[in-house]
Amino acid sequence: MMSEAFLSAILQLIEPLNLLLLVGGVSLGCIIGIMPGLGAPIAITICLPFTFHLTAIQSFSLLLGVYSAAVFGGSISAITIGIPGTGAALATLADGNTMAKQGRAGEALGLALVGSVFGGIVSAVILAFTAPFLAGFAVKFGPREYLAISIFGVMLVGRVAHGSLLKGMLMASVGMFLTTFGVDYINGNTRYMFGRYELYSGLPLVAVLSGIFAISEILILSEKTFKKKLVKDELVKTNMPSFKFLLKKKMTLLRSSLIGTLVGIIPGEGAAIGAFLSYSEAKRASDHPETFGYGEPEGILAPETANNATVGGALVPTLTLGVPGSPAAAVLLGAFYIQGLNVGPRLMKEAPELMYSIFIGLFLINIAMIFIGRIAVRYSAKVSNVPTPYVVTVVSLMCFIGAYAIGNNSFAVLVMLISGLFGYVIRKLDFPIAPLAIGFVLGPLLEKSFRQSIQISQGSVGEFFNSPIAIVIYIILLFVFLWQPIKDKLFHKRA
Amino acid sequence: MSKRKLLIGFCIIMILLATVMFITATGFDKKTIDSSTMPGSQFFPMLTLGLIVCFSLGLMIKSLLQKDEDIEESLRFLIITKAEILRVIIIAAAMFIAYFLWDLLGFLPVAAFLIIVIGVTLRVKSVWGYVLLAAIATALFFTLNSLGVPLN
Repeated sequence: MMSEAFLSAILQLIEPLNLLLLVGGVSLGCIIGIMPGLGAPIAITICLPFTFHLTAIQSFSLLLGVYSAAVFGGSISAITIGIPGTGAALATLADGNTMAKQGRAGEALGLALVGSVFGGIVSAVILAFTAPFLAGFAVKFGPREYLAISIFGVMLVGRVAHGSLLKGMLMASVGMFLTTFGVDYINGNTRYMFGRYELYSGLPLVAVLSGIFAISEILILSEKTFKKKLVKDELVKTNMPSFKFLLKKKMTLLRSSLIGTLVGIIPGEGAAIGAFLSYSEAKRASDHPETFGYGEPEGILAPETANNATVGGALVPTLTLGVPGSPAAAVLLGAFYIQGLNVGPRLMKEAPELMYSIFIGLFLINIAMIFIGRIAVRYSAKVSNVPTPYVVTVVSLMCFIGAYAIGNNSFAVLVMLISGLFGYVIRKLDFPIAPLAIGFVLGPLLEKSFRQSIQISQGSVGEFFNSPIAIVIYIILLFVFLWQPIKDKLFHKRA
Repeated sequence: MSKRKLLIGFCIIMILLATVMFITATGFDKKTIDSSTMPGSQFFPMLTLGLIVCFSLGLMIKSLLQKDEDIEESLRFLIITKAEILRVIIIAAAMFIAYFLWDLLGFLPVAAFLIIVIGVTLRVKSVWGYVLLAAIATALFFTLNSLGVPLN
C-alpha cells in the first residue's frame, strides 16, 4: 500500500505538466523573492488562482516551488543591492552585501545558492522521515492535546514575532476573534453575520491572508513613486564554491540545516529567526568571529542554509497537525482548502500519494533550484529594476482574482481589502502580522478543542492537564516564556 | 503626530470595537440549550475580545508609563509624507471602487481602471507602460478563463 502510493507519487510527479509547474514555480519564486518587499506568503498568494483547476499534486508542485525559491530569491537582492527581498534574507545582508561591494558578488551568490539547496534538501529528508511518524502519533491526539498544541502555537508566535510581546499577543487575539464570524459548527448558532449570508462559513481564509500579507504590502509600496533604477542593468555571474570548500564547511552546513528545520517546526517567523540563530551559532563556533559582518563566506552559508531548511521544517506541523509552522505555510493551508483537503494527522492515510509527492517534490524543487537559481541570479539586476507601479498593479490584480475566484462572488474581495487596510495600519504601527495570520488559522482548532475538552471533563479545567503530552507541551511553553526573563536576571546579576 | 499617540489611539479604537462586539456576543446563545458545563457560542468570542481589551490596555499603559527619555526615543515621527499618505489613500480608494465595479462591469474594465489609477498615482509616464500592463491583464484574463477560474 505504502510502496504503491510512493510509486504512484513518483509517476505523477514526473509527468511533463507536473515538471513544468515545478520548474515554473521555482522560476516565479526566484523572481518574486528578488523583488524587495514581496516574500514567500505573497508569492504563494499570487499563485493561488492558478491552482483552482489543478490536481492536488500539480498544485503543490507549483506552490512549494514558489515557496522554496522565494526564500532563496530574497537573498539575491540582499547581496546585490543591499535590500533584502524577504525578512529571511536579513541575516545574509551584512556579509553578502559587503562581499558584493568588494567585487565578490558572484562568490556570495554561489554560497547562498549552495547553502539554500543543501538546507532545502536536508529539511526535505527530515520532513519525509518525521511527518509519517508524527502523523501516526498525532492520530491518537484528543481535544486536550489539540488544545495544548493550538495554545502553544498561538502563544509562541506572539512571543517570537518581532516587536513587543503585548503587540504579538494582541494580534494573535485579533486573529482568533476573526475566526468566530459565521456559523458555530458545534451548536449551529450564527455569530457576527451582519445580515450577510456570505459570512455563513466565516471569513474566507485566503482573502484574509491575501489582505494582510499582499494588499498591505501593495499599499506600503504605493507610498513611493518610481524614480530611478536600483542597480545598474548588468548580468551577474554566479561563482559556485568548490567541493573542497564545502567539505571544509560541512559542520556549518549540517548545523545550520538542523537549526533551520527545528526552528521551522516551531510556529512563528521561522525563516528569519532560523537564519539569525544559525548566523550567531556559526559566528560562535568560528575560529575568526571578528570577520563576520565584513564579508565572511560562512556569514552567508549559515543563514542561507537555515532559512531554506525552515521550509521543510514548517511543513512538518502543517501537514501532520494542521498547525502552520510559518506565515507562508498558513497561506499554503488555503491551497489545501481549495483542494478540499482537511490537513491533519489523517492526511497521511487519506492522501498518501500527495504526502509522498510533497516529500519527493521538495527534493526535486531544490535540485531544480541549482539550475534556475543561477539563471535568476544572472538576470537579478533586471528583476530588481522592475518599476514599483508594475509590481503594484500586477500583484493587486492577482489578489483580486484569487479572492474573487474563491467563492465566485465579490464579497471575498471586500474582506481582502478590509484586511489589507487593517494590515497596512498595523504594519505602520510596528505590529507583527505573523501572529494575526497564525491566530486566524489556529482559532477554529483552539475553540473546538477547548469546548470539547470542557465538555469531556464536565466543566473541570484541571482535566486539561490530565494528559502527559499536553503537560509536556505546557511545560515547554512555560519554559519559552520564562527563559528570557530568567536569563536577563542571571546576566544582570553576573554583570 | 507621533507614533506613540497613534498607538494609543489605535488601542482606544480596538477597545471600543471590542466592547461593541462584546455586547453583540451576549445575545448569541439564546436559541440553544446549553448545559452548565458546556461553553456556548458566546464563550470564544468573549474570551478573545477580553484578551484584545487586556492587551490593548496593557499596550496603552506601557506607552503612557514610559520614562521621559523613552518617550523621547519613541517620539519618532512616522516616516511618511502627506504626498505618500495621499497616494496610499487614492490607491486604497481605487481598490474599493474596483470592488463595487466588479459585479457591474467584470474583470477587464476593472483591471483597466486599476491600471490607470495606479499608473497615474505612481507617475508612470510611458504610454508603453500602460500598454504592457493592459497586455498582462488581458493575458491573465484569457489564461485564467481558459483554466476555468471564474472571473465574472
